[in-house]
Amino acid sequence: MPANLSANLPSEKPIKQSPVNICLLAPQQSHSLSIVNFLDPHLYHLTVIHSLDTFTQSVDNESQSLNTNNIDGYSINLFDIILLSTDLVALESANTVRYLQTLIGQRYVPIVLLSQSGVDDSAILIDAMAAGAHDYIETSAEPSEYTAELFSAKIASQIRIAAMQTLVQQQNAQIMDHHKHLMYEQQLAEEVFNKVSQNNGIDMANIRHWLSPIAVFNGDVLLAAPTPSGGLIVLLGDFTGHGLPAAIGTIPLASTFYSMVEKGFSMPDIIKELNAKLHAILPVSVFCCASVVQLNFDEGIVDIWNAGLPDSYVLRKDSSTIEAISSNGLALGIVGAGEYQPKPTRFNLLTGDRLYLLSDGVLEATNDKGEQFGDERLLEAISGQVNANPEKGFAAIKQQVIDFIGEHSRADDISLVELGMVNASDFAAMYKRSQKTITAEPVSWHFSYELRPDSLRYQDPVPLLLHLLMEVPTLRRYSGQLFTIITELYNNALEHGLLGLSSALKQAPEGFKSYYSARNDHLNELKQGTVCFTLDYQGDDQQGLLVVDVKDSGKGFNHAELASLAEPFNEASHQSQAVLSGRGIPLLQSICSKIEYLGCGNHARVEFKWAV
Amino acid sequence: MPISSTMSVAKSELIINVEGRFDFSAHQDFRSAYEDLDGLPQHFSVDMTETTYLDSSALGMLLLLRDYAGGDHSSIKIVNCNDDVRKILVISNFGRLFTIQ
Repeated sequence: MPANLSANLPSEKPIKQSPVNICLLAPQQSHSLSIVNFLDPHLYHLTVIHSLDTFTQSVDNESQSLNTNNIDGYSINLFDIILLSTDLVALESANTVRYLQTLIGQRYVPIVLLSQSGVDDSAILIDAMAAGAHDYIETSAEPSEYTAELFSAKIASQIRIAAMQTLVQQQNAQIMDHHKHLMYEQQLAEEVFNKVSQNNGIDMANIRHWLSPIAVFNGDVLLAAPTPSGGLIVLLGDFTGHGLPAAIGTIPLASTFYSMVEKGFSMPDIIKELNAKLHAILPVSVFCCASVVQLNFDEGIVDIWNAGLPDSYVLRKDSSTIEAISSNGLALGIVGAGEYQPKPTRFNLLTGDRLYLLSDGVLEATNDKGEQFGDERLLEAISGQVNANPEKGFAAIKQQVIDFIGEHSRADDISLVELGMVNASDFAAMYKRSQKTITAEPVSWHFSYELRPDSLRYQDPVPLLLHLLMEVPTLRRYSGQLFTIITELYNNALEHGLLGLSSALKQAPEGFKSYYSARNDHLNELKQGTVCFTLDYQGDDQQGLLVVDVKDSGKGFNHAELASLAEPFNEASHQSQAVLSGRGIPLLQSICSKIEYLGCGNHARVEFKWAV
Repeated sequence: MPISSTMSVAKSELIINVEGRFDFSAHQDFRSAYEDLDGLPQHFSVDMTETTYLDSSALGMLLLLRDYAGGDHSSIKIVNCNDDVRKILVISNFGRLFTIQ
């Protein structure tokens, strides 16, 4: 592949270099012989040939010349224009023209008939031009100055046309070449994209999608990946433009998306990072409209965010109602990180409820009459399928669009996605099915991570620690529980241990708001203090033990009450239970095989065991 | 897609008119309208009175203008939009970047 394509197409005015080589095909004593003598020899070089057999089939120009003594014959490539006298061809005019054209091949060489009497020769001329001859000129046995000038003018005109045509052919050839290169480059971009999105989870059973086969070329991308806590995040993106500039953005988008979802980052964090990345690398005029959805199957919660795409829809099965989620932000890549604050909308959904994401292709799909499918028809199609089985329902919606646009249109710019709310165990089963099998060699390691005030203020250690644990293949199915353990212990250590916040604050009205406000304030003011994580894991493919220690530099708490959780409820234990509940201990007890507090209560140690 | 423009020297404002479809074919002319000037106007106004249609490449062109005019410090109005044009600007939340009237 050439490194650089020429940026310029030939665009100079077409000029034919003189002299122009004219071939006159005429018999001896032809009527055409007198008029050709008037051609200016400075501009035109004339060769008279008396027989078609004189043309050779050879394409080798070098051995040919226009030497009139050449008895080996001439290659037709030597000539710029062929004058064909009617007294040579008579009734064979059409065949002669066709024969000449076969010799000429792809080049544009005008074939002009010379006729002594246009009217009498009309049949010959008509046949010849029908077969491809370009024009005819009337000759005269005794040409006047006028006829001679007219003759020259007509020849010149044919030569100009030939030069223009040749230029167009050259430009066309270059365009074809450029086009082939572009298609090749787009193909490469798509290959890279496919490699980056090899773990794309869009084929999970609760995702149905209708994407164009040339989606990447159109800048349309659908990404889906399960989260460590047992949920699912889906992104539908629509880059501006088509072709390579649109496709190229899909690569950093996909790679950042997968790596962040896998690490357990939150949806707003992922969106902010995608925006920052695209803003940094894409040209000013290229951006990505997107819808992102996070589904939490454990709690039946869905967060949806839409920036720049048409309305997304939530369809509730019980009430058959549809709610629209409109774009409420700038598309990805337009403004820098500082100004980007995505605001998702939250829904509580039940199993069987559905979500729809779409780019404008489906709304703008047009039928023969120029009408667009539009949002009303889409809503009708969606709500019509509320009670249908999900597979059949989606297929029916798709069919309605196809029927609308008719057989003469192609649906090559459509992206429509349907996400189904399912219960947590069904999703876990779906995920296991699509997970690749992994080998599990024995593992044994110890990891220590201490955060000081600056990191406590600005960084979230949970994703990193979770990532570490997810490096152990056999722990991946427990990502939900491990996420809970790490998060609870971290929050306890930071908020209760180091910042001294009481979870009783959360109980009051507006409690959560004032709690988190206090959390922010205390964290910003924190001058010293540490939270230290220690993870210790040993295991193989049959069983494993993880010990998590979290130690903060705070005052601790009275953990002697821990035993009281096991006892039946009474007033005395109520308060201590509240303290313990505030630290998420009942939750931890349901996940961990052992919980203990050491020292003054500022050191939590839990054990997580698993076995096949 | 003819693009025309007028410059108000007194107000240091360049008004760019877009007629017909504002799409990729307008790219070159739209850029020339603001790049081929002596000096940089302080204000810009894109008049959509005659604009029938706007696509994502037009949004890209508006972003290029904004970048040229100083990015966050630019002063650009988009005026006289019809319903279709306005709808597209609303969905893309371009009101955060431009003053839309």
